[in-house]
Amino acid sequence: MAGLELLSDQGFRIDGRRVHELRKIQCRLGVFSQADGSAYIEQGNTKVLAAIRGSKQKTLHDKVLVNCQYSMATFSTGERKRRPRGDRKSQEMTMHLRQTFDAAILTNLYPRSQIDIFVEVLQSDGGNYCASVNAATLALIDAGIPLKDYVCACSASFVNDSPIVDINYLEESSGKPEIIVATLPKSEQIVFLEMNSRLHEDNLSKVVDTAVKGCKDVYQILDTAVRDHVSQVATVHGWEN
Amino acid sequence: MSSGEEPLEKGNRHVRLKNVNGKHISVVREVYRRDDIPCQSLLCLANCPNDKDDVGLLPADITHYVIPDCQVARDYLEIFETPEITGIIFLQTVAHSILTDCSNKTINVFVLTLKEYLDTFWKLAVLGLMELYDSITASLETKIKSKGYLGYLPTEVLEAGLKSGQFIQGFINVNKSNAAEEAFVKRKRRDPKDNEGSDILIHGKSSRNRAIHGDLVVVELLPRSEWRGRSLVIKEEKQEKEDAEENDDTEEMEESSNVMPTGQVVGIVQRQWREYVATFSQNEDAGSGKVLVIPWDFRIPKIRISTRQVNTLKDQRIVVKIDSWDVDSQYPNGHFVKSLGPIGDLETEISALLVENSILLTSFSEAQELPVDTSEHPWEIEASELTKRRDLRDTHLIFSIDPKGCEDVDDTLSVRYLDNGNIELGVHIADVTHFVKPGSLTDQEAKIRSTTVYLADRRYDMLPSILSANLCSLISGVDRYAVSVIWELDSCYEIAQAMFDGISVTKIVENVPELKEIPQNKLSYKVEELRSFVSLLMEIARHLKAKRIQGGALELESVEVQVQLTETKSIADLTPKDHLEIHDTIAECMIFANHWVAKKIAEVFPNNALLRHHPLPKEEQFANLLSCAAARGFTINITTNKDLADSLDKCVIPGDPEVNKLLRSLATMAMSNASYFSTGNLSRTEFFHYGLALDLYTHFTSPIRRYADVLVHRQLMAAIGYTGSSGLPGNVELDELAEHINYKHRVRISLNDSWAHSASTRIDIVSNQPFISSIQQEDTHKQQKANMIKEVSAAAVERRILTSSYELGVNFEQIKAEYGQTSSNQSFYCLFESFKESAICS
Repeated sequence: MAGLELLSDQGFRIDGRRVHELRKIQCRLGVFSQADGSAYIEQGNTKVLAAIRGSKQKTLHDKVLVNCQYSMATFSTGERKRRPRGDRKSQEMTMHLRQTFDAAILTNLYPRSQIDIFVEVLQSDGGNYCASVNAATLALIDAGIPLKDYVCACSASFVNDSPIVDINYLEESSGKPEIIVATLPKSEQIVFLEMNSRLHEDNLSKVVDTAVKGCKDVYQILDTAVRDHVSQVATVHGWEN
Repeated sequence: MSSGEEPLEKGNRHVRLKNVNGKHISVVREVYRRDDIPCQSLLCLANCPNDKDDVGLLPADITHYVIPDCQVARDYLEIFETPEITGIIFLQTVAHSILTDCSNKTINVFVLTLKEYLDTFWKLAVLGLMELYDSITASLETKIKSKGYLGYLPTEVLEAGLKSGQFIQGFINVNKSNAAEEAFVKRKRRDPKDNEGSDILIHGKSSRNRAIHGDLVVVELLPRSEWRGRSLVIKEEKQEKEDAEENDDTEEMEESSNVMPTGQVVGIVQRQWREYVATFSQNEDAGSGKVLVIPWDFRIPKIRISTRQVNTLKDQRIVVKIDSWDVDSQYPNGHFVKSLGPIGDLETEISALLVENSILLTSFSEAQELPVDTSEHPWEIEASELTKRRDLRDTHLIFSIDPKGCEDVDDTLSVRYLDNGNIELGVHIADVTHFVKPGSLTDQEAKIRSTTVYLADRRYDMLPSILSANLCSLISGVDRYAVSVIWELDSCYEIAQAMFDGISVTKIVENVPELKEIPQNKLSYKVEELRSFVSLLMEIARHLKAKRIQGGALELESVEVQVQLTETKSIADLTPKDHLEIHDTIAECMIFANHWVAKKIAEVFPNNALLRHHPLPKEEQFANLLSCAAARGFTINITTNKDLADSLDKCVIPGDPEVNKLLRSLATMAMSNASYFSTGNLSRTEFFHYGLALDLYTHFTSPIRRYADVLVHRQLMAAIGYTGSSGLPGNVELDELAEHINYKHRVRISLNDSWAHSASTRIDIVSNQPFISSIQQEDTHKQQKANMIKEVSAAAVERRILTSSYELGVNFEQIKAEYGQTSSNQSFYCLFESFKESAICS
């Protein structure tokens, strides 16, 4: 992507956003009736579907077993994807998701049982992990599984001496550094942090701060969506207070 | 989005990209449209949240801002650079969204085309702006036009298309009178689907798609709705040069106004690029790296070459070669090869003619296995040959009739009374094949040259001079090998018996330079004898000719001009050549011999004999003749060759012989071209020779000058069992050879008539310095004939005549470049051809 100006002198990115602006996020909860909990999220053109299923199994006696399955639809990328799941990248992503939610779910409330988190990427345009985490959080909330806090993820990069937030595929593939952070926004605790490519350590804190700020922005949107959803459901069921 | 901000409007941009493997992938990128960018103008009406520092970025002292879209900004940047126009906002993003989204709906934003804008605001204020706009627009248009070429299809597709009949293969032939627009593709002769028979019109430069005159191209036919007729108008701008040529093309075409198959070039099988003679245009600036040169042959597009010698080469004819023609280039790229010399110089013009016609200038290579004939080692007849051949040295009086000074005498005659009262007529042709063995270097060289080329003051031989001017030439007083055809005629000159005595040894008793010179000959004791023989011969010939004319042979008109050169090689005078009956006599004998040889080889080699045929002329080509004749109150019947000949005979206005001559010239023009062919390739009915009214014909009598005759000689030798038939070419090979010879023949003809050279140059030269070179012959020639021909589309007629003249002229030129005029390729031509042959031998 050499020669592509990721950030113009006027401070606009290729797609017209400023450095601190997220992509447009749209989400819905409870998209499936069969699953215990489900959610759909769009972050720009990255579209992810998540579903939760809980079951009693005698695997672990003291806490719940969190099981993840991450997959990308064959049509999610520009070129047809040959192995929707089971390749190294998906396995890694699966593992990351499991670690993330292991840390966020109050696991000791449900001994001898298992929570399955299914994540399907329908369209991929950068920030797959972030969208997956955000979708899974919504789905867990939809399922009524107690969490320490929302888990919000956001990515950031560093271009022309300024950090940019929520990078899309074009920015992701430009070879610039990429930091992915998942946080518990209220406590600003970081549950997951991953960095690709190289970044000078002087800039690390700036970029991480930007990403955490992005997570907080995401949290605002998710929280609004959850509240809207709950009030909607309550109206339907006549639980209004 | 950061919380608290208005959400941005999101859009998608679809892009198609290629991945590393060359596959196309479709990519969607999102785009956010912002409405929060301040205008920074002091005149802001919308209360933009302008920064304090940046306010005033857009000046307030103007009436309007102009926002050019990217296309306009790119193409017309020069206009926006004029200092008078201010208040231009160049947008960062693509402008079509502006056009679509902000069009006139938004307050204070008006979307105009650039032209409207300039018209409205600047037309009166800044003069010259509109001119600038127009000129840029014009140049853009030509650019767009020139880039209209399509790439060629891949070879596999072409091959498949050719097989399935979707595409047609043929040689492209650019219309001389409309070189910019029209070209025609002649379907290849062997094309089995030749049912439509007509040529395919390629209209316009983009359909021609970078094909250059002569290339073997693949054509795709356009849908029938897009077919069109050829233009009837000669393009005005070049009329000077071109009306002279116009006729040649019209002849090959169908009825002019008719719609004809139209196609476009989709691929090129073979480039026929050669070296082209070109000149610089007058106003080319010196010093620039890339220069366009104008080829002499205006069917060739201008060629872009890079040279730093523009100034030195400005007034010279140069040779350039085309290297490539890129899809996005209007002109082909080439390079400068060499300079021929200053324009107008005799040598320059001649070498230009030769280069243009791809005639080999090089002398013969050293490594040829040639016989020796020097004073130390005189060449002698081999004893072994003597036993095989029939010795005619003592029994026959053999003589040749050629103009004085002729060096390559290849045909001689003999006539004598036999004891039984019959007459024996012999035609003896130089035995070239004895020296030129098939496959030898000399043979290969001759095959490439195919023909001897004659110019007014020089000639380029087909065979090395030791053969052409010495050992193969039937010179008086020496022993030579020959191939003879001998007939026994009864007293009524009906053929009693014909034999090909094949090989004979001849001794020419005397060359009869021209009949009228005989009395001055010192060999008085033989003069009387010769004289009686010649008159006998003339009588026989008259008889033969009468029979042929009865059969429908055409007698067409020719005008011959004799060019008298001074020592400095300028043309001293042009005189109409006397037409002597002896010429007809010789011609008749040669036709007779050719005919019989054709019979013989066609009988022995039904599948691979080299013959010459002259197909029926197309009816529409007679239109000119018919209308001209009608103007004088004659009707011409063109149903058969006999009818045509008869009606031509009737077109006589007493006291005005030119009328008949003219009509005959026109008839000549209507003829199609005679050509060589291999008997295996055509059906028996196509063998005939229209002009001569003979069922079979070939060329046999000039082996020194024509390669076809050499081939026929070999075939005849094999046919009479003198040599084996092992080395003879098969049908396919022979057909290719025939094509090659036909091509070379045409070249030679066109060289002699040399229309190609810019007529204007020629005329200049002619008028400035009296007559310089062979090139100008025609011009002088033109002047000579102008009065005669004027009334009937002078130039066209003349041009045609010139075409035909070559063959005839051949020998005369040798001496003093006489020009005979027949259509070389036509019946008439054949007639005179042979007459020329006869005339050669003095």
